[in-house]
Amino acid sequence: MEKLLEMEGVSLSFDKKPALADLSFQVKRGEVFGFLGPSGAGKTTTIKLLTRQLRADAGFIQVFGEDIGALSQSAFDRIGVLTDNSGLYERLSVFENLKVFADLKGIPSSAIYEVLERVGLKDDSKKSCKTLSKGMKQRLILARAVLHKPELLFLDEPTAALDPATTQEIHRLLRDLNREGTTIFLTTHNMEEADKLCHWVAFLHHGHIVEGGPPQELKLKYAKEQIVARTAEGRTITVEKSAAGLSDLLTQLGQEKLLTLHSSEPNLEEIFLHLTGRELS
Amino acid sequence: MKIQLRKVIALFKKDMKDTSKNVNVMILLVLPLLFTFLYQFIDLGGEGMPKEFILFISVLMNLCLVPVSFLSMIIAEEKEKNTLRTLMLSNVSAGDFLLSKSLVTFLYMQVVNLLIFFIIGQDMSTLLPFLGITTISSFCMIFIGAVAGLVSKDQMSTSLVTVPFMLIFLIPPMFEAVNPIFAAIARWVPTTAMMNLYFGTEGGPWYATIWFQVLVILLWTAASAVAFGLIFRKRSLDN
Repeated sequence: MEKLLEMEGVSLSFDKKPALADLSFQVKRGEVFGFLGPSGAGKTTTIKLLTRQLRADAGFIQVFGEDIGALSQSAFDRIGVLTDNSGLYERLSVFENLKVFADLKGIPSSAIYEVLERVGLKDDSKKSCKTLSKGMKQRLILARAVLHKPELLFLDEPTAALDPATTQEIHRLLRDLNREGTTIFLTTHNMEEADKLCHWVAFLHHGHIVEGGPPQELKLKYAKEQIVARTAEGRTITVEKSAAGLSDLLTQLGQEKLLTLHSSEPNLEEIFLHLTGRELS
Repeated sequence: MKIQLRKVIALFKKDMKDTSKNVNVMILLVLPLLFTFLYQFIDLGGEGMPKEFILFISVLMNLCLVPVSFLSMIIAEEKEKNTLRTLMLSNVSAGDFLLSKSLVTFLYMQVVNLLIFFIIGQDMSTLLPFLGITTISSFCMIFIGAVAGLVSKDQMSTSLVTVPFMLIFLIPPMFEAVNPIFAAIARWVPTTAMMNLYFGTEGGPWYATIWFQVLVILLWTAASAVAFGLIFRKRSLDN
């Protein structure tokens, strides 16, 4: 499958302090690629390098198969970006904010109403941005990032500090966009979000990737070879994950009623903690 | 510097709409007009202030406030509110951004100049020369305003750069007649050159010739354009 993004051996320091060290990864067309890591791990720095807001000290970066230094400015017409410091024109209304970018990209006004409908802001189109809540502003910024149906979407912690209902709506929109062909590069410290949305996750710690892969495969890789059963009487039985273990479980269970049966797969946060000794948030 | 016409037009429409709702900068347009009105009522021993002097002071104030302060504040605001970064990530070049802002600033400046011209009741035959001379003189002010906007991290700090220039452009021309030091400095200031070109200079010393006035304006325009180019190139990336 076509590679839309590639970083190879990328390093960057700020005032001699390393922010990224020998970072390498690829993102294929149609993927939702998640960069998981705590604050300060280098997630935002990575997005800034991929969007040419920063220049790397070493390594190479390719976007749409072209070296980022040689990438034409018009490539940004195929890209959408949402970051934690994406600004809005506060004195303009919701509609007017999107109209600016529709005019910049030569998109008809009808597309504005369509995208407002998708983010649930159609009834608020005349409201001044000054009066919007944090969740509404985030949805507006997302609407702006996807207005031109980008091939590649960069999202830097898109649901940070949002309520669960708004988060769910944004997740639904992102899944729809991905189904329609948008490749998404997403940074987050929310492991549930990464688990729900991503085809591939990479754990970032102190500026380099410590592990990466499809979420389910990572969970199986770091799973304990155990099965844990709970009975109706409140007893917990732990056996080896094998035919012999299952046989042992049946023996121990006897006539008791089985309530739950789980394989001991860790969640992404537990995997990160195991690998780095540090929590995600 | 790359310019894309469609984008400049889109940004121009946005800037006109946004600045019209920005009280902090619109007040800068009102001040020269306010002073123009007030000066009409000043009584100097039975006579009002000479029309030429009112024109001189009001246009000077307009040229210092609008291209220098107004432009720097609207550029700095976009940096402060992170909308400039969003525009750059949407394939808007710095040239598109600055041209749009400069056009809006120039338009407002000339509208105020026209209003000053008509309020004072200047001779209509001097309107075109007035607009031509103020246009040419405004270029260096626009570059300086753009530089101030580029180097300032927010609107408040633009005054650290703009106020010294405003003092240079305003004070020497205003007091050149009463102080020889101000007179010596005023010769080299583009606002003095602008007024000398409009009101006519009668020759005499080398610094009173028309060509010297044009030279002063061109030197300031060239120097401010070079400063703008250097700072613009330096400020394009985070690191």
